Amino acid sequence: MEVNIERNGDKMVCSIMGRIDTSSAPELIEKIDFVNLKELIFDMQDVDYVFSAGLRVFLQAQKIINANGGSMKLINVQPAVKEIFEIVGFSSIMDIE
Amino acid sequence: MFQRWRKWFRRRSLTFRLGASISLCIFIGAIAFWICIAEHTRPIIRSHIEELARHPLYDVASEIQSSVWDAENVATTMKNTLKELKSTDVGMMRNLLNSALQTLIQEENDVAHAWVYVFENENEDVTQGTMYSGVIKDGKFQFKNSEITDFYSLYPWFKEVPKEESEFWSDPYYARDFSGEILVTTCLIPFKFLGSEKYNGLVSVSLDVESLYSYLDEFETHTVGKFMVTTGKGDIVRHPIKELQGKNILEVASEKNSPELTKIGEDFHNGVTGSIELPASTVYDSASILFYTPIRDLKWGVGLVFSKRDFAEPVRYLQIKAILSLLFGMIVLLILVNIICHRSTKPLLELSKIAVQYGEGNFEAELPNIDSKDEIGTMNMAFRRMRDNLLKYIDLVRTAASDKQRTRSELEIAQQIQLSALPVNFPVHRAFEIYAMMTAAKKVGGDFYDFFFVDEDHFAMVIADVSGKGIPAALYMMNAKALIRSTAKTGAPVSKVFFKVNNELCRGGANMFVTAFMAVLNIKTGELDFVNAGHNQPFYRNADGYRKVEVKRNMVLGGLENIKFEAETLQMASGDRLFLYTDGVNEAQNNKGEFYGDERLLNILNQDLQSPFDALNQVKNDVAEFTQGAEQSDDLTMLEILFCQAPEGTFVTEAQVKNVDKVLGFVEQDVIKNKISKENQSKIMIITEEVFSNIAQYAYRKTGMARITTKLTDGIYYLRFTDNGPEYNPQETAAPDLTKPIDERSIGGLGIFLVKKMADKLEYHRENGQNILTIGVKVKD
Repeated sequence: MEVNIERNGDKMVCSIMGRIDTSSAPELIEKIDFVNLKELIFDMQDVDYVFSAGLRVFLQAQKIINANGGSMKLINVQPAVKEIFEIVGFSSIMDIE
Repeated sequence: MFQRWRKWFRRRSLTFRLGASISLCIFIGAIAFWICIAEHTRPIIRSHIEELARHPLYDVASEIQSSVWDAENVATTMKNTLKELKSTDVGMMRNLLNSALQTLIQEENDVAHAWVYVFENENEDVTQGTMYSGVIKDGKFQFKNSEITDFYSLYPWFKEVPKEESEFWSDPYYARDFSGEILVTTCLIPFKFLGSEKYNGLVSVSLDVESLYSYLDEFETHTVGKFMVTTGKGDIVRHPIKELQGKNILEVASEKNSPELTKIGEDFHNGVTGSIELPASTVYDSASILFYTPIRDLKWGVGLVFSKRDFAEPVRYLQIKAILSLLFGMIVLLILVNIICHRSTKPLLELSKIAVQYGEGNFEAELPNIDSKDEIGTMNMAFRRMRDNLLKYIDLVRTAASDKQRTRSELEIAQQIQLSALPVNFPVHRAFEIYAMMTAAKKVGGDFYDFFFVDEDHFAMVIADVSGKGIPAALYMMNAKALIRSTAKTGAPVSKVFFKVNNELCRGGANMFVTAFMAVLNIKTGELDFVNAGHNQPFYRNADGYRKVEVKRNMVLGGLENIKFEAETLQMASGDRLFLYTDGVNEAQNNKGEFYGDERLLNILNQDLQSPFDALNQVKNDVAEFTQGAEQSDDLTMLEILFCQAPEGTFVTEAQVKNVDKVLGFVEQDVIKNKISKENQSKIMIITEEVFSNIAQYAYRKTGMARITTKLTDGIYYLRFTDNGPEYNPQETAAPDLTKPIDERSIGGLGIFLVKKMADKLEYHRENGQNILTIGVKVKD
C-alpha cells in the first residue's frame, strides 16, 4: 500500500494505492494528522482490496472527523470495494462516491 | 408338613404370631390345669362321696339290724317262755303272743306279726300242726288259732329250719295277714316244751319288709344315691331299677357279663363291707359307685349306689365355669396383645416405608417422632444415625468417585499410560507435514511413536514396539520414550542416542526390550539420519512411489549392553515421504489366519497420493477391512513425514501480520493461474486476508506456523487454513450489529463477518491439535 497525502489547511486529500490490509492499515491512520482537519477525502481510485482492518481505519477516521465537526468522503471507489462497504453497512454512515 | 406350617406361620404378621403363640401357651396351660384339677379332685370327690355314702348306709344297716335284733329277742323270749310250759294251752299262747307283740310295738318295731306253731305229733313233723298267730291291728292285739296242715306247701323253706335253738331268718315272702298280703321276713326258732325230748314247734316273729324299706326311703330323700338290697342268696329285693327286683344278682351279672356285679353278689353273700366302681350301663347309663355293707343276721346286703353323673354334675359345672373364665381371659389377653403389637409395629411399618425411601435415595423423608425409650425408640434413633451417616458416606463416595476411575483395570491403566504418552499436537511447518496414529489393541502391546524438535533445524521422530504387555510394558515404554527424547535433545547423532538409551535400559534390569526406529530430519537440507534397532524396515516414497528400504538392522534396545548401533543417512527431496509402522500393521490377521502383509500395505499407499493424515487413515481402514472384525491382537501404529519445501497448492509461513502480503501473493498467484473471475478473486482474497490475519493476531501467544492449502475441485475453490493455536471455531462468533449508529459501532468482528458473507462453504474441525478451517467459494456455476 502506498499513500499520497495532500493537505490544504483544514482539508486533506488522501490518495491510496494497493491493498489496505491488516499490516498496512495502522500505517494509514498514523499518516493522517487529524488536528484541525475538517474535510477528509480518500481517493480510492487505485485500491483493489479493502479488508476489515482497512474498514476499521475508515470507521475510526469517520469518528474523529465527526468529533472535529468536519466531513469525510471516499471518492473513486471501485465497485468491488464499494460492495464491501455495503456489506458491512458502512455506506449508510459514510459518504461514498 | 411341619415345615410348611412353620413357613406359613413365619409369613404372618408379628401381631398374629405373638397372639397365636400366647393363645397356644394359654390353651396348653388351661388343658394342664384342667387335667391337674381333674386328677386331684377325683380322689377328693371319691372320698367325699364315700363319706356321704357311709353314714346313711351304716345308719340304715344298723336300723335294720336293730329291728332284726328286736325281733330275735322277742322270738327268743317266746321260746324261753314255752320251754317252761308243759302243755299246750291256747290261752297261754294268746298271752304269750300278746306280750311278745306288745314288747315289739312298744319299741316301735317293724314287726308285722308273730306266731307259735305247734307240731301235731311228737316226731317233729312240721307238716302237721296248729298255728297260733297274733297281729297288732289298729293298736289292738288280735289272736287267731288255725290248724294248718299244708303250711309247708305254702312256705317250702319251713322244712329248712334247723332243729336247734337258734334263729333262722327266712327269705322275704308274701304272707297272708289279717289285713291282706304283706312282704315279710320271718325269724324262726324251734322250741321244746318242758320235759320234752324233741322239738314241739316253732316260734316266729315277722318283720314287715316294707317298713324296713321306709328307712331306706327316708335316707334316699337326703342323698343322691339309691339303695339296693339283696338277700343272702342274691335275690334282689330292692333296686333303683324296678325291673330288676325279684331277680338274682348273680344271674343278672352273668346276663350282663359283669364281673363287678358278680363280686357284689359274692361280697353280699359273704357279708363283706366295701365299695366298687361300676362302669356305665351296669346300673345306670353312666358310670356309678356302689358302697355296700351286710346285715349280718339277715345275711342281706345293703348297697348305696351313686351315679357318677349325679356327683360329677357340680364338678362339671365348676369346670365349665373355669374354662369359660379362661376363655374370657384369653380373649381379653388377645385383644391386649393385638393392641400392644399394633402399637409397637405401627412405627416399625413407618420405619420400613422410610427405609424404602432411603433405599431409593430420598433422604428427605422425615422419620416419625418417637420419643419413647423402648426398642422402637432406639430403632428410630438408629435410623436417624444411619441416615446421617449415609449422607456423609455419599459425600465421601462422591469425592472418591474420581479416584475410583483411576483404579479401573490394569489394562485400562496401561492403555491410558500408553496413550497419554503419545504426542497429538502435530506441528504445522513449512518444511514438513507429519501425522502419526496408534490404535491400541485390547491386550496392550506397548507400541509408541514420538516426534519432537531436537533444535531449530532438526526434527526427530521415533516409532517403537516394547516386548511384553500390561502395566510393566507400559512403564517400560514410558521410560524408553523419555530416554530417547532426552538423549536425542542433547544433539547427539542417532547412533549415539541409541547406544546410550540401550545401556540405560539394560541397566534398568527389566527383563524386557524394545524395537525402535529413529530418524532425524534436517529441515533445511532434507538430510535424514536414521537408525534401526531391530524394528520393521520403513517405507520410503520418492517420485517413483513407495518402496521398502533395506536398512541396517541393529540389535534391539535393552537387550545387551554396550552394543554399537549403525546409523544411515538419506537425502530427502521435496515431496519425499518416510512411512514408519509397527508389526501391528503388516502382521494384522484376519479370521482365516492370513497376514495383511507388506504387499497390500504398499499397494494401498501407492493407490493415490494424499496428505499424511489421509494416507494413514486410509491404511487403517484397509487393515480393518482386511481383518473383518477379527479381534485386533496387537497395537496398530504408523507415522509418516512428508518433506515439502514448497508443495503445490500449499503455503506455510509463520503466522505474523507482516506475512499477510506473502500469503495474499501466494493466493493471488494461484487464483490467477486457475483463471478465476475478478469478482470471485476479490472474495477469495478477502477470505484469505481475514482468516490469516486472524490467525496471525490471535492464534499464538508468541508465534507459530500457519498453513494455507488451496485446491479447485468441482467448480469450488477451497482454502484450507491450518494452525496449532488453541481451539477456535469462527462459526461460533456472533455477527456484529450493522444497524447501530457510527459511535456505537464496535471495531472488531467485521473480518469473520465478511468471511462468512463471502464464503459459499465453511467447515471447521479440530484435529491432531490443529485448527482446520476449510472455506469454499463457488467459482463456476
